[in-house]
Amino acid sequence: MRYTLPILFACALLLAMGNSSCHKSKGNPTPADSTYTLTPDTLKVPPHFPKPVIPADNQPYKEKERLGRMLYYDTILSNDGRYCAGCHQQANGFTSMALYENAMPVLPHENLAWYSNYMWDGSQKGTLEDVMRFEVESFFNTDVSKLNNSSVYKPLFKKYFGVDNITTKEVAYALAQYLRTVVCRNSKYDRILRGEATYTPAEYAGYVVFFTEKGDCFHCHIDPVMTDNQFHNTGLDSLYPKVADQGLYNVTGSTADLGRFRTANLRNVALRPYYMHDGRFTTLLQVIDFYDTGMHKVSNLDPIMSLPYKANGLHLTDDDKTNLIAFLNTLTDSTFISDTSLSALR
Amino acid sequence: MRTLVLLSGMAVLLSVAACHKSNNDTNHGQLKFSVSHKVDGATVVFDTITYTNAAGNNYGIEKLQYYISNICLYQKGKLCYSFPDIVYIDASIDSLCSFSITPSSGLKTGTYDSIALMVGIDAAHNTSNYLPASLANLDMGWPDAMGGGYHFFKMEGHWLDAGTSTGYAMHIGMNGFQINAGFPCSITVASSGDPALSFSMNVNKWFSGAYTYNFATDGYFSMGDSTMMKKLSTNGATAFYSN
Repeated sequence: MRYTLPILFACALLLAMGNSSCHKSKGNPTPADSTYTLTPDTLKVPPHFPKPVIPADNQPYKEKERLGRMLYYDTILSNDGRYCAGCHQQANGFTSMALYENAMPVLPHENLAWYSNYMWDGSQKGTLEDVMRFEVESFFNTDVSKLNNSSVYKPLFKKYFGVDNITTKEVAYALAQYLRTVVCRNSKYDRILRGEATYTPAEYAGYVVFFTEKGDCFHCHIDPVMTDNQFHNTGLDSLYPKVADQGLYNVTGSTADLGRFRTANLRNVALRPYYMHDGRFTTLLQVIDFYDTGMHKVSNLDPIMSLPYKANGLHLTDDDKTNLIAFLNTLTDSTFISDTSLSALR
Repeated sequence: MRTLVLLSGMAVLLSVAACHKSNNDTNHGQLKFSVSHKVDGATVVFDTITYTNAAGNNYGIEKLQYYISNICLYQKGKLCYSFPDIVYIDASIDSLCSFSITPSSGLKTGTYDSIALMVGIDAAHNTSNYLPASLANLDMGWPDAMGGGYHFFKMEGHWLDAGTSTGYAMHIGMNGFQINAGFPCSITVASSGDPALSFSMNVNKWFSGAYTYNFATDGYFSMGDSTMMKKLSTNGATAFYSN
């Protein structure tokens, strides 16, 4: 009897310790704090786009999107002052006016919700969550202890992701939430698809060049996404001395993939200062001139580039080129680059 | 089992007395199909120039995508069922080489001894943005500036043109170039379970038959060329067979 009370006390103590460790999150996402109700969001989808495929465990909520937006503009992601928006500048269509990282143009963050292949060479594949894990863990090497010690982020992750200990997974998920909202859908081209605008004669003539065998742009820059998110060798080079020029080969090791790069998204193309994987072209006219007469006929040139009656070029006239540029300008979405709902929080 | 690209319509039942003489049982399962892609009996291996067609062209295959639609089941020459479903096939992806159809009123038990199918989309439905927006369907789009609708069939790769690797792109689309194929088969429908049919496409049949198609003389980029598409679509009618 005299031992009963101490034993009971010890049991109670052990029980309390057990419960405490049970509720200490190991960083696995759990339903958000039960006292807070998240607000579901419906993503804006451009005309004729498919619904984006979103993983079941990261469905869109306004609060999570906002948290991702905060992170996107915050140097807390890195240990050297870098942050997503430092290179992916909204005013430039979420790309950069400078060349970075092996002199490759920064790929624009627009309509990523419809991608499954990322980077110029396809070195990252999967969902947005997958590529954001890469960005957080490899590119930025984010020190999550800074987030866990932050009086701002720690309570927000607890509230929205239900975690006491923030890991790279939650950071990646929040960034993916935000990036799915970065949707370009109000260019003149989109408004024409919605019946809200019409082409000028020059723009329409350029549309015909783009969407017929004359220019044959549409096979890779598919309507209306403006990229097929696949890989093609477009005859940029005949030799690949630099690793960066080898493209998808660097991922697969297959010689058939030498010089294959992911199709660029042409939305807001007119805003960019550099084109192709190495930024070798600086104007749209240079790009068109390359496709007109500059392609190298390599053995794995994409079959679509092999129009037999165009063996010596597309034979575009100066007017064709001017009109094609006029059409490409209709892909610029001025609201996208100034939409404050995508900008840094004030 | 992959998800079908479906129309909103129901299966059109054509009740012909001869189809249902066997008994009155009805199967309410799914009708399952799988298609294999071969070149003269050998399973297609992508990305290498290893095949030879009837014209002697050495070629390889890098892309093979098409739609199957308007599948019809026959019994002793009588049309029994017609299904309006439109299915997307990508020969390089296993999950996109099999599909199911759910007959809205079931299938009468018995054995169906031949099948017809369309490679492509019939004229009534071959209009831009008709199919559900998916990346695959968008990629198969046939530009409005060229008539609209969809590619029915895309096969791309390289061939040896006098020893030089040269790309080819056999694209078929536009109304009037739908491919009406058919072949004998044996689909046994019991009162329960899912009846199934495995069949194959012989790629070389697109280059032989009514026309011996030669890249060197007939051309190797067919999109929008009526002569080339006519030859290919005529040949393609005999490309399928039951396993």
